[in-house]
Amino acid sequence: MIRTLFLLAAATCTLPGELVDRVAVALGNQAVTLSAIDEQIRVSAFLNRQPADFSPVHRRRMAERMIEQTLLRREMEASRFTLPGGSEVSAALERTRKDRGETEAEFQAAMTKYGVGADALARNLVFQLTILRFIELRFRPGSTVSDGEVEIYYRETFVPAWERRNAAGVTPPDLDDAREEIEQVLLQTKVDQSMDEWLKQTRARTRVRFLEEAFQ
Amino acid sequence: MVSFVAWSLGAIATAADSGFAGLPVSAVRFDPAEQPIPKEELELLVGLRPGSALDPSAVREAIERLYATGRYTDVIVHAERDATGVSIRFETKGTWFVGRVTVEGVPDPPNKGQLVNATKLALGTRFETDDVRAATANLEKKLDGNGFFEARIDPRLEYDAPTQQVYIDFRIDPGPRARFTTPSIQGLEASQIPRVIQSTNWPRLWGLLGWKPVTESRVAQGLDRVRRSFAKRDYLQSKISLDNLEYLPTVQRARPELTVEAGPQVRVRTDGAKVSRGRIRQLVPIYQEQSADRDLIVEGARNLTEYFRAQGYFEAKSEFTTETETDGSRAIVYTIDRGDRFKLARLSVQGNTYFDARTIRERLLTTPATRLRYRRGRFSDSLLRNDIDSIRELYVSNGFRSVKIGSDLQRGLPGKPNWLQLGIRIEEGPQWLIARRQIEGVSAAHEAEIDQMVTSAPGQPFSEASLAADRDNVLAYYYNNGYPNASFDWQVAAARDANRVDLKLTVVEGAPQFVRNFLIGGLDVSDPEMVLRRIRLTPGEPLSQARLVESQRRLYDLGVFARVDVAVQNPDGTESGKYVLYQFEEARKYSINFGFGAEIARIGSGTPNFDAPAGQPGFSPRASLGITRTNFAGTGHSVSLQTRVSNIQKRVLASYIAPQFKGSDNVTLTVSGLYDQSLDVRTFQATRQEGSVQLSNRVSRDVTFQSRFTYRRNIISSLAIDDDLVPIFSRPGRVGIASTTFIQDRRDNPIDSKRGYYNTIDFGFASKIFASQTDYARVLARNSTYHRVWKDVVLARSVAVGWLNSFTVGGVSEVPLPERFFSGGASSHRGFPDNQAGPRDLRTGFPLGGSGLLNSNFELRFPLIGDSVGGVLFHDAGNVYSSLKTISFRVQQRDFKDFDYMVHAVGAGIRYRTPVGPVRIDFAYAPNSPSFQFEKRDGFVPVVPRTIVTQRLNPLEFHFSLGQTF
Repeated sequence: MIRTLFLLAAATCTLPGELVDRVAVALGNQAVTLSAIDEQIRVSAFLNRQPADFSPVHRRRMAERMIEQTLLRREMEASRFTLPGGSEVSAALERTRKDRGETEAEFQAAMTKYGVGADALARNLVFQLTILRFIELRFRPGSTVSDGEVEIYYRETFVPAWERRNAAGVTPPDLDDAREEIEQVLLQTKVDQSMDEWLKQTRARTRVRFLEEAFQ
Repeated sequence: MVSFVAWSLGAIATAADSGFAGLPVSAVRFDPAEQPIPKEELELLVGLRPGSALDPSAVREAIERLYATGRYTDVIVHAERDATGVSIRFETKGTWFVGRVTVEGVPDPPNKGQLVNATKLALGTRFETDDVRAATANLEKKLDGNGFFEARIDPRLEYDAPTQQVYIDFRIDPGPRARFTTPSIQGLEASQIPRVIQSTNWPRLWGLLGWKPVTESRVAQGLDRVRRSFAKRDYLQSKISLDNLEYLPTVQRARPELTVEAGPQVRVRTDGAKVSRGRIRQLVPIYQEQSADRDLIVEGARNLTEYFRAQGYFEAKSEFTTETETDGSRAIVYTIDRGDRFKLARLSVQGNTYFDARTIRERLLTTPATRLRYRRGRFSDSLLRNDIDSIRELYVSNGFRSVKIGSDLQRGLPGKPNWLQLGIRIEEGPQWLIARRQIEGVSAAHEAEIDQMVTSAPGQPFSEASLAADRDNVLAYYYNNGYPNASFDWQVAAARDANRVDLKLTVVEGAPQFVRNFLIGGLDVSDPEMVLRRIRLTPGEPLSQARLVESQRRLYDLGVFARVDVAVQNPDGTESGKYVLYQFEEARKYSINFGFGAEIARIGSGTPNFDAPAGQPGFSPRASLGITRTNFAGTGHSVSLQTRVSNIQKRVLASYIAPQFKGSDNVTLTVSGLYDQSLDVRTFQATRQEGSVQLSNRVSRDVTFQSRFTYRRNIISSLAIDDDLVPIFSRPGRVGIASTTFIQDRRDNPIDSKRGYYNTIDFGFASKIFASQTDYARVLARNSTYHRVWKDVVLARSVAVGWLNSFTVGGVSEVPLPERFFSGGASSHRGFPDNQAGPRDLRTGFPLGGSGLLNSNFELRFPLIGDSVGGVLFHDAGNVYSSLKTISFRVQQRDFKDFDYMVHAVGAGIRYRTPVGPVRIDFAYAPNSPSFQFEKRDGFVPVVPRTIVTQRLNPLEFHFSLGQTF
């Protein structure tokens, strides 16, 4: 009884101070903080030139993405995957700036506007670079495309799509000409499927806990 | 660009910092103030120091580091401005970890261990409230499987805040255990169902006594029996599944719902070569696996091919087809083309210079023809491939990275068209050596050990296999020194010189872990100090996996715990100090054993009989009862009382055993008291009262020293010899003897040895200084060896030599009769009845024992019927002699007073193997068994007129007992 009363008193007692940061999601012993989720929202909004959305629903959606990223990062660490070097990071930042068609000053101003730090952006770009390479290395070797699959895709997807895009009477390329393109599409689909399946299984094995108070 | 990179390394304030970023930190507090991590470590983890500017990313990293310790389920950081800056408060919620888990109230089966395992609550792991629900559901499933469908489970949790442990006790009211009832079986015709039900073995006595109670193992065994019964009738594709175990609460019965798909019968036959049915069952794995999968059928074809190739048909091939017969059954037909029969006459190895031919040949399975064992040699393509791989592996692991191995098979030798000659060609190529070696990442404290441990060193051959071995050794070293996350990697680069490599080894030690403290649970009567003394770790020491396991073994070795679980609390957490959990289940305090048996031999009836001093066939029923109290007073010691009663012996033995005496693993102290009233030596009835203290020290895996002091009092009664003539023997004797025994045991199996040797030397010294009434020294040495001469045929031999010498005036006669050597019988010399060897009293004919002993045994042990019944042929030779000097190899007895000659016995025996050792019957024939004379008596009084009787020990003896002779 004394213990219960004590706990009740502790719960209702309001201690002074403003919340700065907290654990939002836990994957085993690994924490994803609220500030990390918000940072990711800001970077994502900056890269997509969209307003940052800090609503609970969007935060949760972003948290889900970060869980997947964390699982992939763990797998990369376990397989000692080499991270991109500093020059690659600089090049990626430069490329992003150029893609946006901004001067360095404009680029910096946009970052300030979104509240995106240079280190956060760099981290994000590094991760994007890394993850693409890792997915290729980890999931592509196990993915193959058979001639039968190419033929079916050509017949059921490629040709109808060509006919929709082109005027009647324009002959679609024959199978041999389209084979390489189809193989790439099918291969990429299989890589994505393999990764999705792996993520699903890994997540099922991992103890993931959302701390609901962080999303209210 | 330079400015861009520099700018990117900087940090700007994020929205999350709410304007606190950059303010000086005035204080860092924790809520609650009492934290589960020691203060110094906590400060390092948080990394925020008063006076420094607040960095939001540093706050995030602090949260991540704190959470990674595994000690928290939530960390919230608050900030508040004050006069000097910003005050930071870490609000934390602690994690709970699984401590003791008990399940009480359920009768066996399932046993407690199975129930605790069923909860899937692993000791030391993170605990969450939902886990109890899952554990309860798992327990329900386990209980249902064992017929406890009405069980009620009451989980009770007890929290211990200082250690963050939660103790979970499941109290179960199991209700009645359901019995089976008639199963419902789908997929079979009604006529087949009774047979399936009988094969489950679920009915009691064919159903006459109802049904057996449900247990998990009965369910599994029942299904397996059904499967086997179908397989026996060649239904090798049958599928038997348990769909449900339906509980009928009104009658407390469980109805198994089975689906049986018998499938077609599968028969195997061979074309092209005759193969016996038994051999087919051995070679085609569909019978062992009880499944006719294609993979197994293919494996069968491969096995048949190999079988014929092993017979000399080196080109044999076998293929298979499957056919459906007219009766619907499936036939697997192996078509075998044996080809010609060959003989591998010669095998040569060429091109080897680094390794000699013998080193290579001992790795080869391919064998040229020999006179007896391999009359056609042993050869096939797959054997040759294996051999080539073995040779390649040998070379590659010694730095010959480009070795090439080839083979030439030459068919036909002059005048012998079916003889083969196989040549194995080796092109060794250059040997790659290590030029330079660099080891990175090893801290100074471990440098010397690692440097010595890594065998891949400059000048040594370079091979991946050696590096892999180095990696295993290095990682084992780190794991055992508290680095559970250590890793080892290597990089190889070509050196400047040809065929040389530079090696770079990288060790990442990771953070060391130390023992924070021990949390011990489950001790009801045991003294915790007794447990702690046996744990080979102390708080503050590196967390060594090897020592954890060793401590667990030591605790098990005490014999007082039924279960010792060891775990590290919060194993995945990054904290450096770890609690080590030892959770115990104490064994039952008392164990009682009892038994009944009988001895049939030439042992006499238990009453001295003056007409048969050589003994007569006797039957001696015996009963034994023992009680042992383990973990006496919680010390880990045990006290036992063993009694045995038969018409030739009454025996009470009380012992106090202290294993791991004074903390030493190998030392055992035994204090015992014995009362023994024995009639097994036919000369007298002896009452022995004995007390002894013994220290046994196992100095290595196979060598043990025992030192003991024994104080013994012998009382002789019913003396069958004339006490006027040898009055010394009739005196009650008091012996104080100090003795030591050396035991060297290198046998593969002490109960039924097939290999190894066994040596013992026992030396005893009795003296008046030990309050003994007599002074003598006694040595008894024995050497036994065991040799496997052919598969299961074993040649065993043993020799025993004994010497006894009295130091008092009057010589050996001063030594009390029971202290002298007696021999003969099932476990010494089988040409004699029990204890009938050696000198005899010249007036009564009864054995007197001697002071010299020589006994030799040879035994050929071989299998007779199956694995259980074996036979032996043996030769025993030896005797008990009046002194060491009179030991003789003479085979003839000079006269009726001469017993100092060697008695030989040959014989045969049968052994029936049982789990406690072989039951044996031996028949021995001793062609030179001793003859002796004695005066015919009426009680103790010689008959008048004086009549001398001559008697000879029966040359034919039989013995029935348990265990091998030696």
